[in-house]
Amino acid sequence: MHPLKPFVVQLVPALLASTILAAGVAFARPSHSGAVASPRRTTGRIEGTVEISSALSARRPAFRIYSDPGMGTVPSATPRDPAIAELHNVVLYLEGDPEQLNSPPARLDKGRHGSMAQRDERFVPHVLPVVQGATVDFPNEDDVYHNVFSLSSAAGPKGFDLGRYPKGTSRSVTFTRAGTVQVACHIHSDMSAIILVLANPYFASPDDNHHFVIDDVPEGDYTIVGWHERIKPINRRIHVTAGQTTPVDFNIPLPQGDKGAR
Amino acid sequence: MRAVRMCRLGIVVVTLGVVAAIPTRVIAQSPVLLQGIVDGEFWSTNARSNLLTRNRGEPAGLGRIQMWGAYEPLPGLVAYAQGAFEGGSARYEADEQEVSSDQFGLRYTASQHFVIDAGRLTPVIGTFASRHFSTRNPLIGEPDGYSLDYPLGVEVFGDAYRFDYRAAMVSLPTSHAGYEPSPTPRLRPAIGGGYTPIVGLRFGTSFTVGPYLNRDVPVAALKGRSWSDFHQRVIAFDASFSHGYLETHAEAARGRYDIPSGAITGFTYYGEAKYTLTPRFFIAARAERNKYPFIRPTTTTGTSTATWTARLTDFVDGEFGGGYRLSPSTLIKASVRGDRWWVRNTAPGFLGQGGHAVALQVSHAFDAVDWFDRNR
Repeated sequence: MHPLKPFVVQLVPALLASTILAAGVAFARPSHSGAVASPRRTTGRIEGTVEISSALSARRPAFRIYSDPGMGTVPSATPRDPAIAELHNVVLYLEGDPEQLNSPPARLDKGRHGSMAQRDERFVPHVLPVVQGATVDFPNEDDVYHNVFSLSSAAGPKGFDLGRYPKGTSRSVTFTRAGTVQVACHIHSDMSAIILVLANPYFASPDDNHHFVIDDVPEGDYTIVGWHERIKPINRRIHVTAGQTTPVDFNIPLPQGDKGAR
Repeated sequence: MRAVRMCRLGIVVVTLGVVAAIPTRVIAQSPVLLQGIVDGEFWSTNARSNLLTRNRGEPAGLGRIQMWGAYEPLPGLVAYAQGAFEGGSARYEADEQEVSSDQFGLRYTASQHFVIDAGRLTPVIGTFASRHFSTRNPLIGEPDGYSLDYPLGVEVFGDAYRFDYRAAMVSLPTSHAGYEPSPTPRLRPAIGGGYTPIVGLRFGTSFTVGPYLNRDVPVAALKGRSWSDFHQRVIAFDASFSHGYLETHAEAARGRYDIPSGAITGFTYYGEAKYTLTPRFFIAARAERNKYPFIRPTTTTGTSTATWTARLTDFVDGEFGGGYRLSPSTLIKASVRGDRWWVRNTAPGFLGQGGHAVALQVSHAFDAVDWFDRNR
């Protein structure tokens, strides 16, 4: 956190969190997890696969036209399997009535903490979905300095600049606004990442087998969004039925004319 | 000279034509990098400084576009090129426009310990090269003692543990346009290395030796020797330290030049610091001392009488400024720079004993492949 950035940025989320917690205790809703003794919420599951266009997984040369001499002059090689690497940069998330998507505290807590490492001169992961109010750690795992920063409005009114800190240490930022936070490094201009700050914890990314699951979704009608940084988000209307699996497959980019839900 | 400019312009036009002709889908899917930086500058100077005066002291503007591309046909093997177009009344040089191709070559990365690069290279001597880009330079000006000659050559470099190295055979000396005769290319060694005791702190050094004159130097001025017998030896040192929001950098170079009466030795050094105050705003300052040889062998027209001008320039200059990031890729900087010369010179063209410059610069970095990607 930047020294001039008021610690209010840390204080406000803490206050918000405690307020929400107090409100949550006062107006406890029925929860699927059973954390609060109440009638079981009826939930279903969303499951599917993601195919990604080879255009989106194109390999970029690991090349810097100018670089400072010293350790870290030579950029790390690109991933061995760029298609799989790019697949992990897809996020599937739900949009809908916030009341309906109000999730159990345990699930919310899980989405409110994330970590984005600086490793081999890359941000790992390249795309990190978190829930609004999340605190994200930025550990440096490299033998060289990085200087993580963001000027995105979703990163707060001033953005953030974490300065330079050595291997084995970390800085954290709390994201109180939903939106897309573009993260970059002042020292290595080829390093970039995105933090997707989402309104609810119902999101997933595909695994190496292109498969994704969003579990414990309250019954109802939603929009499922297929997100990748280089395409317009793909929206599909779906209905989740309690105790059932709703299949949704994505082809990114979406072929022309294929806009309906399956 | 005009032919060279036309040739460079032709290369740039053909390259842009080829790029424009390639279907965007092909570019988006290829292992290609195509990036650039666009700069706009406004200068206000007085007319009393050899270093700082632009447009004879009248307000002046300048536009510049630098583009570079890389193609990786095989893992680790990259063909690359960088070119620039610059135009405007604020240019140092007499021509109001220039097309240049600074770097091009073929680079093979075996590992971080060993990279081999062949082509037109960044100078091995000194470490300012990376800050030749406006987005990397914390200020607008550049140290006068820094060479911008890009030699042809072959270089190997890499790092291991806390050490880094670079070794090359290059075609040009570390010369400064206007200080020494324009050199004739001649192969020479250039080496450099560094030690990083802790992350953020690095000490480095570099060295080169070789001919620095050109074959057009009048025979009478060479006193019976060949032009290539007159050598330049440059040893340079650099140090950088950064932590948190502070970045500091310093370089020093000592150059020794053979002249008929022996040798003339000069030195130059600068130090700079940058401090980031907020995510968008930073301030920076640089101070430089330049006591470097000015060498000019000449003959009086129609006679065989030769005279060598070989004396030290001597000046200090300082620059202070700040930058504001409009976006991650757009930066606006403003700076004030002043200099003071201690040179007794009544030669035509020598402007004076000191001056000042106020500059404003807007820079925007872009990735052309991303454009193609998004516009598919």
